[in-house]
Amino acid sequence: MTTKPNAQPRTLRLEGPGLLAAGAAIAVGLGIWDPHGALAGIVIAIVGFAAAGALRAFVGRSVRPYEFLPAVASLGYLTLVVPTSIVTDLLAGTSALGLFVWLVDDPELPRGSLRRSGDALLLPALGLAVALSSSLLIQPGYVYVGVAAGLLVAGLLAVAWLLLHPESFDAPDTPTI
Amino acid sequence: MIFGEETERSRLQWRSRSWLFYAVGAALLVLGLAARTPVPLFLALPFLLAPPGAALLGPRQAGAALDWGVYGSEEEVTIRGRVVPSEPALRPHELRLRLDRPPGLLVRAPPRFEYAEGSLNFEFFWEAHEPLITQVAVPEVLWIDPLGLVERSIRPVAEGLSIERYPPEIGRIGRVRLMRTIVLAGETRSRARGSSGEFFGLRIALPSDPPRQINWSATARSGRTWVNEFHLERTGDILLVLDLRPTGLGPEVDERIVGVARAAALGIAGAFLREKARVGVATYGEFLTAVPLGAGRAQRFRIRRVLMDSHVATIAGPSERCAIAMRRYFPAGVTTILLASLADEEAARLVPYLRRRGFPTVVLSPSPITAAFDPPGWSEEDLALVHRLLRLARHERIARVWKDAPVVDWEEYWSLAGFQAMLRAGLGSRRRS
Repeated sequence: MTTKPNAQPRTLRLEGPGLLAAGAAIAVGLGIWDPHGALAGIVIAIVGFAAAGALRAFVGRSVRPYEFLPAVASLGYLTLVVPTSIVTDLLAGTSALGLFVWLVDDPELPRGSLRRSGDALLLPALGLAVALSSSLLIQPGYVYVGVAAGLLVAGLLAVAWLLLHPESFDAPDTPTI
Repeated sequence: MIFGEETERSRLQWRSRSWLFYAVGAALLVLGLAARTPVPLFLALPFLLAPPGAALLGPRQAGAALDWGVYGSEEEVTIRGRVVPSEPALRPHELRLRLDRPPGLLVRAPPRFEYAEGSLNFEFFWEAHEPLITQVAVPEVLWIDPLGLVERSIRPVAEGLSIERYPPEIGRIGRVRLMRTIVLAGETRSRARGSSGEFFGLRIALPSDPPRQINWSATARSGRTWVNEFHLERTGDILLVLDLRPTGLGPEVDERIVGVARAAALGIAGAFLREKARVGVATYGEFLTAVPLGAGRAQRFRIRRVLMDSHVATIAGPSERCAIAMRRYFPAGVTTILLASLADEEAARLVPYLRRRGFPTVVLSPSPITAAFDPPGWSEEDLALVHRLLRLARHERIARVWKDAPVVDWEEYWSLAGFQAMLRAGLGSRRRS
């Protein structure tokens, strides 16, 4: 028995570029606060996200895990130079989440992956919300930044331990009689 | 169709992107502390939390059942199957399939995946470049989180698939009358008793007897376990010899020729076994590996196992050693089909040694001209001239081998018409003489 493969209709998926544009818009919002000039910040944000989109569109599958790095580089630069305020904190966090949403909408994944990605985005979004709400309540100053950094280092160590022990996420062995 | 129910225990593994996320988060953290600004920390936080979040909120264990088979005929090979997750938390949309394509098979069309209700259906469209026998390993099924940070590997416990593709003439080749062939199968009574053939009698069962051989009526009547015994039927004997010695053509071309010869050997063996002939197989690289003459389905499995394990040897043994060793396993006078490329003098020397040891031989020689790759950058005219010269040299060598045994130059790998014609004409007349 032989089956001829049917030609798969190719459809243009607009979610990816749309989500990338939304992430870039948030980054542009961060870029406006660039002390070297809003134009420079905006250009850096747009170039970073455009490079990420180009990597996905034109470069092979082997580069896929690294496609978000140009966008992260531009965001990293902007977060370093922009002044500290609740707005920039919020924009920095949401731009990372926006980037995640774009990553989830991988054209190689089956349709509807964005809809099913709630679980993957839940913990980062929750952590960000807790951090933002605590930053609203805590007075700005170096001491508090130090406390926050200490907590982050502890979290970092915990994450490192988890990364080195992936079996801790497995379900426990079922006891047998 | 083979259906695997159980699965091995799946383990969570971090993918490269999660290490990248962690590195990005750590770098932003360091930069934020160095610059004494908290803004990079807010950017770092989602990157640090995403990998453990994906691991925590994904399925804690994963299992899947695999139902698959191989379809198609001749060159076309279609692998079709279905993966059904056994955990309710495991969504088929998050499953990926990793199937290794065995060498000798080319991609005919891109694979097709369909996410049905509760299962992942897949189809792979391959093409056999030449006759082959190969095994497709059980695919690895992966659960990957939507962000591509963690994965759980699932290896369904199912049997690998066997792909066997032969020239169409193989199906009719077994009807050739061999030396010591009788008119009808089972006409000459063999002294051997076995599990198939003409009914001979009953005997008390032994622990090694298979249940299908038990005579249940006799067992019920006597209260002891009785088994049926049969006369083994025999129509003739045939021996297949594969020359696995390396030649000057290089390991890649040698392996390709051996692959074709292996497929032909199994196809010919299967065809004669179906006609109740006894078939033996010998492979010779540095030393001889033999499957003594035998009949039945079990013999086909034995031959298949030996052929699947046979590859081009690293060291070439002398031709005389092969002929001497063969007499330890096979009686003289058995019709012998030698599958050898005759690419060099040493391969051609094997034929007279076999003949001197009493093995009437027919040589089926897969042409190295077909298997060798054309050098890149050569014009059509140059290639035509090179092929012509190679053919002349090959015809000269074949003519020398013809003094000891008839040779079939197997140039078109998908056709064995020439070999079939020679078997019909040659073996019958030899028997009469």
